[in-house]
Amino acid sequence: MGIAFDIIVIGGGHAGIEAAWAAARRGAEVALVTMKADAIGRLSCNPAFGGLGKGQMVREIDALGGLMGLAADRAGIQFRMLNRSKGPAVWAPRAQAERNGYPKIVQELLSQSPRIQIIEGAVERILARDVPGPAERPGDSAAAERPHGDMVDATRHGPRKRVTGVELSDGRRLGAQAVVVTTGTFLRALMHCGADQTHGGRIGEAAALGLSDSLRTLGLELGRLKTGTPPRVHRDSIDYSRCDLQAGDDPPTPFSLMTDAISQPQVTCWVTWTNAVAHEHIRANLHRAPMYSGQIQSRGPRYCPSIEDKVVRFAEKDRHQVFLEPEGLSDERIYCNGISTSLPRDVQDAVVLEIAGLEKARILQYGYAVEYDFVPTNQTRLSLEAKLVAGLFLAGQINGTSGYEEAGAQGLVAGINAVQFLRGEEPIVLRRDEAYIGVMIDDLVTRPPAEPYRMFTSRAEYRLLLRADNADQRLTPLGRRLGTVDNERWDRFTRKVQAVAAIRELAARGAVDGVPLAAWMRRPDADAATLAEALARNGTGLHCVDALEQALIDAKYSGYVDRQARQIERFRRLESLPIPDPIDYVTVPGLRAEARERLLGVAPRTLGQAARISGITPADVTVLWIYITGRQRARL
Amino acid sequence: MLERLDETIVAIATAPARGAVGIVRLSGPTTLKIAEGMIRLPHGAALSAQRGSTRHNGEVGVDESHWLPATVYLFRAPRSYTRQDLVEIHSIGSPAILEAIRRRALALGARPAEAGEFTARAFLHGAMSLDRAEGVATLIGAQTDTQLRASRRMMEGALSRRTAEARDTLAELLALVEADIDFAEEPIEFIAPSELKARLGAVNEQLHQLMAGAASAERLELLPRILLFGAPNAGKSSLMNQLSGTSRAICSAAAGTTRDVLSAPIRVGRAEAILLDTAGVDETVEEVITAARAMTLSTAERVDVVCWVVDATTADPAALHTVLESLAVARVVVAVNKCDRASAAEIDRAVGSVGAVGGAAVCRVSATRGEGVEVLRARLEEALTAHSTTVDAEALVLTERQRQAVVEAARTLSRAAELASAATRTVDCADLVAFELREALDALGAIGGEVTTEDLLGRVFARFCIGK
Repeated sequence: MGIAFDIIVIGGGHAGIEAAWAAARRGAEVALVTMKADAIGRLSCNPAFGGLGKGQMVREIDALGGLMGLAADRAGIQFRMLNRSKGPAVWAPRAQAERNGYPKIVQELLSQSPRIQIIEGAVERILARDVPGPAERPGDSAAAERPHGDMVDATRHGPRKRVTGVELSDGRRLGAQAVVVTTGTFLRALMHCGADQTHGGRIGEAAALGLSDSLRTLGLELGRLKTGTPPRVHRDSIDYSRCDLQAGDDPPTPFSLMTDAISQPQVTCWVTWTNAVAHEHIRANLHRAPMYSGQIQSRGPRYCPSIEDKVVRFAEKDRHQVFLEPEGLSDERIYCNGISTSLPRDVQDAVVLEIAGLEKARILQYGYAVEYDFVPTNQTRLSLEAKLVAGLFLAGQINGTSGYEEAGAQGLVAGINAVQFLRGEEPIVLRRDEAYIGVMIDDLVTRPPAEPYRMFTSRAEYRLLLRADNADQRLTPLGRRLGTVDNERWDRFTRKVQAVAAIRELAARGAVDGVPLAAWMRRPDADAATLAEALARNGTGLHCVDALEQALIDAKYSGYVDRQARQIERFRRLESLPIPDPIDYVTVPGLRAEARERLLGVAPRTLGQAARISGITPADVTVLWIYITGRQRARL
Repeated sequence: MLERLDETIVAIATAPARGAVGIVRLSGPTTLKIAEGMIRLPHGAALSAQRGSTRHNGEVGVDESHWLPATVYLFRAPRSYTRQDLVEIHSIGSPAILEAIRRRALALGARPAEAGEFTARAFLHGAMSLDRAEGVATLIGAQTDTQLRASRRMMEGALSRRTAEARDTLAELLALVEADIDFAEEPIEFIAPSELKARLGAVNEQLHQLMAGAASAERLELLPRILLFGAPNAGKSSLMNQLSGTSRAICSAAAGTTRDVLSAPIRVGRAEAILLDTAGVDETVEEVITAARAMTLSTAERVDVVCWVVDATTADPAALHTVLESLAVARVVVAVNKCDRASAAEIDRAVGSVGAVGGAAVCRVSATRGEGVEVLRARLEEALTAHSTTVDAEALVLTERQRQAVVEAARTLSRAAELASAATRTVDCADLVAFELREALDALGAIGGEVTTEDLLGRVFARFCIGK
């Protein structure tokens, strides 16, 4: 073996960045292997971060000491708090970022870490050695007949292999105890634009071809997904007078607790609409769209559909929104968010020119779809480690997700758990009542998605507690314990917590317009500025806006938060019953054959997780519960 | 009990009384082995050689040398009640013989079944949902044909079906409300607050109808209840002693001496009933009685017949009439008491004063002397009979757990509807409405057993009689 590291991260996308950063923060020596070092942190889809559910995750990544929030704040050119008019539980920060600026910022931040070494190259093979397996048991022949025989075996007896490093296409070998695979859309990537097909994960970049076979050799099954991008047009070719203006928030609210103020100049975005004529062009050329011609067989995201999908599925709608988003302050490209497509170029031209404001638009880059390999997540543990291969972690689009935020969050968890693995410690698993990140990973592992998975607030049962404003309170103490949160962040966090506590105490005394402060804070029109004034009248000058907002939100939801806490208590009762790993489901008396198959496939870690597996009935859970408690009792 | 599914259990499945036939039931993995050790089939046939569900006229041995005729029913797994091998031994309905058969099975390796364990196994093996399992419990406790029909319907899952409809609607509404949050950038409203409110109201109405039409399973398991009601010192306790033939209630000449609800089983004609004596309901009584009165009112919600005791010697406070009207759940029989001490004019006045209670039978009694008590007993029997026929034959039977779940869901939906009516756009209330809807769905989910916890299961199955 050539050079040895603690951890190798394959891929420099949003998952890889966070994985490398978190692992290095925790003291591991990390190699980040990427095909192009200057492509690290590139924004392959829209140049924006956050949004519903996603914005909460950026805050959570930030709360755990991750990079995404910091970098997005520095590259951000328009910030909006979505749903600002609604309850704070569903507020979601979103920002446009400079497409060219963001990667530079990320690369600069990574370069500050002495423990991260960036290595250019294409990983061809993941190296692993066999782990001595348990002796074949009599009566186990059934496992061989079942599909996923290896998976069943891994579920029951633990992994069969253990990673030792990677081999690059030029023959170089790098040793490591853990490998994090974050290949994004690059695994056997194929781009489609009409009938044209190009190998590559992004315009102008190559595909990773050998790695898929290597994963298969390790026993992993691969599936295929697709995603797409819209055309980008020249900013000087748009008639803005025909578009609606969409202004950013003033002042902008940053993602990161560490950002004092947004320093970049802020821009505006515009909104326009497709129309019946444009839809007609699309309908007339559907047979030329790879999704409909049969050229693409894999599934695309239901929630972020291509314009051809929208026209077919929502046939009754004669217009769809198009957001025109600048890709940077000095960038001439405008990203046409809402018309992602893989139609041929001539159709893209025709459709775009029909759209109000785009009559004279010049397309600088045509939209395209990309197909890529992924590893269905029934093969993954909640730690994001592959069930079959000890020390092999998977994060980001390879797990079937879409979006930078989803990828970054998984990368962070994979990086943290790769270090847990090195140290022989229990993996860190965030629960559904702790973080959107926990909701996502539990969803992925427990109910493996068949289409690209994206976060929504509705996926979180405990949304009133999982808010963007309190992500730090939920997660920063954990990050501190794990070593991903540095002193500076910890100081700032503790100051905020103290400020919120102080405001709460003062609220018991003050008043606004004769209304006691505690009652006034629950009113919908209560705002931070008035609260600050009221506190000032009481002789306290608290100016921390974060803390003021936090105190107001806590007050607004106080009644509901108590009820939600009771729900969580019920939820945790099942969640706190661990299922020993490995468990031999064949020996559980009374378990239905179908339930046994499903449990074997997912290998849930808690009874609560078992209950969420589709096809598992309450009776199955009870049978399992009885078996586990009976076994524990037998051991005592 | 629930953790030992791999053991074979045995129980006497018929009531502990003499009858033509008694049944001993065995179920579990070693059922066949145990049964073969204690059963002889004609021509030396082996039970374990029989396929499917079969019936055999054979003999059962209560020990090595004594054999009795028995019909043996074999149900092979999974086509049995418990989804495990199950054997029923039908023999002579004598408690002593059945007990001997049971002991024989124990000696051969079975263990005694706990209450509800057969049905628990059926539930655990997915043979029935939780509400159906509870239906079985109610069926066993049912005392009338009407009750039997109602509990059978419950066993057949009528409740899950009816609530499933409500759950479907709520799930759809939740999806629309969630869409209004998650697709904030879309310029459309997925559901208008007015429609949201209307549809929530419709589901709420559905749940209320379900509850209004449902009888209480707990009540079905109990005897009919007669509540003694009246002003302090009207003579309720004395009347109770007369009707029950005991000196259970404490009675004294001082008003308000009965501080607690006392109950006694009484016989009214051919029926049995529970008689409840209560603290006086009177607006003027002192502070100490207030607590007792609260109890009276809550007890009154669960009575079939109210026996209103009127003191002929003093006028009843008007407030009493108001309270009585609020107890309209039950039929009323009026006992004008102390007729031995009152003048004829006083008695006439007292009888006239209760005219407000339409259709109620009025009896003149003297509780201390026992005069008129038998007539009162006959009137109570009539009232009880009349009452039992008023139970809706199509009604569902709800256990307290199920009723609580429906009540909780309905309450949550009212809150959601309130939030919706205060909003001009759905998004303004979406975060809280979604929360309420999820709570309602959770509550309704608990009925079919979707949300199941250890204590819940314990409570449900503890209500079973051994042998089911």
